[in-house]
Amino acid sequence: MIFNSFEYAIFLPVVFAVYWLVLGKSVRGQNIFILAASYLFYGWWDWRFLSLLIFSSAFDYFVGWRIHQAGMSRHRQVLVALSVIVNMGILGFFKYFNFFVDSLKTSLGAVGVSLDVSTLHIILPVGISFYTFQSMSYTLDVYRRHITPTKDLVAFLAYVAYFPQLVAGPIERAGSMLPQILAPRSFNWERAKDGLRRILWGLFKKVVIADNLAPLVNGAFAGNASFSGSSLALATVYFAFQIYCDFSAYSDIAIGSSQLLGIRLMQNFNYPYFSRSPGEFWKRWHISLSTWFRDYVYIPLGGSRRSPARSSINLMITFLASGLWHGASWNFILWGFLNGLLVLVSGRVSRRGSPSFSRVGTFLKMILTFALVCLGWVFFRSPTLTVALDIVAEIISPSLFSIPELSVVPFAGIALLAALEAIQRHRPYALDINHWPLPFRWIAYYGLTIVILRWGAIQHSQFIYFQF
Amino acid sequence: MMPCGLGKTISSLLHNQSGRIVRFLARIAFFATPLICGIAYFEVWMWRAGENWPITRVVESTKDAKADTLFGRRYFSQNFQALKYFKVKALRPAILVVGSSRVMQIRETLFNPHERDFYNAGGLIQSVADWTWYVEEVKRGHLPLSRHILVGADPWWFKDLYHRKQSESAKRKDRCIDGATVIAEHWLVMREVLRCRIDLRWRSAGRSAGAPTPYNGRAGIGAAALDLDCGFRADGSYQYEPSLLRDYLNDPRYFDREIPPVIERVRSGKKQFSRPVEWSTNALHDFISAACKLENMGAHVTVILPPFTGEVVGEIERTAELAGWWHAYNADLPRMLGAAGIDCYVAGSPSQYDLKDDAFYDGFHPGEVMMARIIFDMYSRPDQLGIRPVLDLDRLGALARERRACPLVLDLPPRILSPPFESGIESGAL
Repeated sequence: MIFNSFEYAIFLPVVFAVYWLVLGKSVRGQNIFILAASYLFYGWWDWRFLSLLIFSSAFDYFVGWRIHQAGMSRHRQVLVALSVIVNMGILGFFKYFNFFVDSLKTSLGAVGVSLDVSTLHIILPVGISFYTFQSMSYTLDVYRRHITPTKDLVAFLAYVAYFPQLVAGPIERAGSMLPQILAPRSFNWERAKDGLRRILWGLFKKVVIADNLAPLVNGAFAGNASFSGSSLALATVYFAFQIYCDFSAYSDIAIGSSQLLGIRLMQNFNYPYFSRSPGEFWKRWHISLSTWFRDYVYIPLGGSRRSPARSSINLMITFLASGLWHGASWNFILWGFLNGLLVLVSGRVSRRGSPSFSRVGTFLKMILTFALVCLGWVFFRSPTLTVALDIVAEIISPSLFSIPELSVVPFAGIALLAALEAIQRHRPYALDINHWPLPFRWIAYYGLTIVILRWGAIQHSQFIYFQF
Repeated sequence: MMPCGLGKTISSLLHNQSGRIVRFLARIAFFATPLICGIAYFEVWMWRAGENWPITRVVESTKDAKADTLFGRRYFSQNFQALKYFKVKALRPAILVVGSSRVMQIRETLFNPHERDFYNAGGLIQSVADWTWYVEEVKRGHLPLSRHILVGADPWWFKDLYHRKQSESAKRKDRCIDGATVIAEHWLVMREVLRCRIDLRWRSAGRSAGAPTPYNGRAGIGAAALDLDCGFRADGSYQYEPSLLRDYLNDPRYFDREIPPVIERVRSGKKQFSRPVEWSTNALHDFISAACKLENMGAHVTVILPPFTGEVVGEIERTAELAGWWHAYNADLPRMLGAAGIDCYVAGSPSQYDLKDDAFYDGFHPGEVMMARIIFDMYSRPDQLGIRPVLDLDRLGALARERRACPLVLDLPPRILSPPFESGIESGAL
């Protein structure tokens, strides 16, 4: 089941009604119901992988308790290592097995060694990268004594399987989400209204912008048509907005849906394309993942507390891991490497701008940061490394100044979105207009709904981050 | 045990909570009311015209043999495969025509006195893969076995690339999908309203399902039938827009109405005539094998190779790339069918029936006069078994040979010269 489907449009109101009107007096009842609804939501895609989800979360529940009960630090270390190995093992098998086999074969082949190991036809379970990380963070936090493990198995399973954020985040922390699940919840009118608003905004970004940009982007990045540098540059910009609108839309709908159920999820995007440096970009883009890597990879490696050289290595390792998390392909690893390099270099060369030119300077920094991020997107989106390099080569060729073959009409939509976000960038999301007078708010809602009906792409396309 | 005051407070809170939630839902309902009203108006308008009637309802409404109806959707997908499937299931015709749109002009009137046992399921079969699927459906009992089956086999069915693609997609294909039951399709049509491409102004004067169609006065279901008088008749045959006939009467000459024209497709290798054109022995084998299965089950199968205009035939014969495939279709296929005991009739170009290309709507869709002459010629042959003895061949011959003002139709619609949508057209309901 995906958010932009009619099934979800039926599912969510039914869950909302039962959750509050029937089970509103019982926290345990609500949690059991949420768990059942979440399993139904996940099983709608493929019921066979429900067992994997249940196993992963139940395993970490019991390991969390054993870690808490274990006195000796060595025993605790063994248990947390077990949790990491099992979770990463599951993720590694389903996501990376074929990649590692192919890479090993290629590497050995380069030195004349032939390896006779075949790849397997493995289906990647939707959301596996998200829920394994979320579940793993629980045992890691228990190990670090940041949280005490919960005795409530249902609550923990609901925490891992919580349907609004199960398949594409935000990746929540047990410390912030479990207390909300365990505590009684009361219906909050304003929060629910805000949730609906957020869902509407998410649908607009996904169905109107992201899905309409998709065909243009797919054609340009297929690698088998000859587009000019200007077209490819335009396609890259389109992809930048496609992936932003697609992914942030999912987060918005997830956050909004969760608000309807009285549970707050973390902000996952904070107007990333208004960043003035690559470092700032990574504080605004996919915040839940970048903070996860910061807390569980970068800081344990020593973070920035070591020598500058070691800190740089730690940073690069973190970004390489992040790249690998996104996909089993050298493209993603290179993308991670590139972003790590940009963050490293931009951190070194940052300097204070002159106050009298600060606005212009800020704007130029935003443009430059956007351009650098787009360079990374070329590798992220291209099907192969060769195609990515070809695209970059074409973009930096004289054909960059030719008239693009791609339609520029979507650019108007993007410009409008950017203008809206620029105006509202101090609010959690662009449609946060609760302070507007009621008639204007409703005009905006109706207008957006008609735009969705009129211009929304009809096909139920999956969200991009489902593939991770 | 909970203190009294706290209990009352919590009870009050929860009671208030339910009230808040109900008020919240009511607020959402109030907000959504204009949208729901708009959607409801759209759906009611479509329902009133029969445009979004499920195929099963259409079949139920039109299965009465006496009902002279016309079903044609204008905005929703035609889904004629689903229509024909459910109609065949409901009617259990003894005489069945299957094939593509190129056999859709075979009318029940040609099979006098057995009109009521006839159904034209043209459109149900678009490939050899569809043909073998149909035979399997009959074998499994999902579809009835007709006594006499006329199957129109198009030449591209035996193109290797076409056959392989169709065979692949046949595995995933849902032939019975009905657009009217798919929410996404309703959304698509609603968008056309938002784009002002569909006029939903309420016209009380007519356009409700069952109202007489503008030219022929049949009971129309669907906006294409009600507005344009085109669609599927009760016997399953297709009725083109009578406005085409009026155009012909004003300018009597042949005009290839396909886009792109069929002759252009032959010349440029587009669509059905895309290159490479390799004859598929697999398709041939599957086709004959399926036909033999039906014969073994007790049906009499006659294969018709539908006609092309003389213009298109000439172009095909001049194109070297198509020569081998064309020869195999016209010579090898009938010979192999004959060897398997299956009757095969090769329809020639219009001149062989004392007609010209203007008996066609386009390069490969013959009109009903052409089809009448083909059917008469086919059943006049002394070697024709099966249905021939029970047909009124004299009447058929007279019908086929009669000279007409328009070579496309056996009879001109009663109101062909009167403009449609005159005031005074009364609405009715089934």
